[in-house]
Amino acid sequence: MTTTDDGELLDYLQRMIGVRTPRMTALHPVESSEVRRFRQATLFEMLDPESEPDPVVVPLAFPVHMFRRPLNAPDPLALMTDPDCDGMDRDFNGLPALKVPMKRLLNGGYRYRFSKRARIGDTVSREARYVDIRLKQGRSGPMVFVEYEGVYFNGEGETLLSSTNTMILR
Amino acid sequence: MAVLDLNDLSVGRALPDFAIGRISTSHIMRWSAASENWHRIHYDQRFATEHDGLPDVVINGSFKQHLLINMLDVWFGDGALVDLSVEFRDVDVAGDELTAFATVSGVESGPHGRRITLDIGIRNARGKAGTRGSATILLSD
Repeated sequence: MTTTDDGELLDYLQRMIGVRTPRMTALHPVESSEVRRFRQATLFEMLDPESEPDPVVVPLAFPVHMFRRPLNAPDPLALMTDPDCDGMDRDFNGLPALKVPMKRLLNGGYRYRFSKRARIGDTVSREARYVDIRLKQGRSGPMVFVEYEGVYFNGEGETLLSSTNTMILR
Repeated sequence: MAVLDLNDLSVGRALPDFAIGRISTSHIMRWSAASENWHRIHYDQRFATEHDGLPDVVINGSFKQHLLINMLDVWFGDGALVDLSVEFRDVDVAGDELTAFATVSGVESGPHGRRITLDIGIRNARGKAGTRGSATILLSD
């Protein structure tokens, strides 16, 4: 069910604040092939083209992108025939999906706090929670600002980093 | 990328710009595939413009923030970057030529080294800096 009434929507959103996930483990440990792909896609080697690349250096925020779709999970591309489907779930960081009528999604920004760099072979786990959710009136109608956090750990339970992301549903 | 002199980090000093270059739809596709981000606004121009009202397919915010994280990580060395935040106030679109920048906004010296704060961002060749934020660096001297 999608919530449509503003008062009802506000109540619903406020109830979602503080909802959290249990600690979830990424499908795969930190893999050198994924690190290579990530580094190439983010132009990592362009930063220091003179030096010999060190293949074991894992970019600081790499763990954030380790939580992939399991093999038996529904295919998001199967829904693309719906003209309103933008390809994005509303279950940020594995949190319960937000059921809101807004069809457009924009990334508002991030905050990262880095504690320790992940290493090749690390098992990474994550705990997530909705930090804040606000309903605001924009020029083109209501907008929902969703702030959610992820805290990432290695296999020894040490914190690698925490991230806070703001997404805007409009 | 220019070599950074870590002994010359006074408030107001602009660090050397990092010319990222022109970001094509191919760059966007490569990052979207690497991060398994299927958001249509990054590759379906009709959806981006007609459905979401954007000027064109847009460069991923996550892509831009990783460029900044990587830049500061390489500049200042392992373990130095401890905090980074960015806001996406305006979109950059496919074909935009991007440049990352940073200016020292604070320096605190303590018994264990220096705490450097930076104003950071990415601007495009149209003169818009839609990605802005700050970062904290700890240097053990």
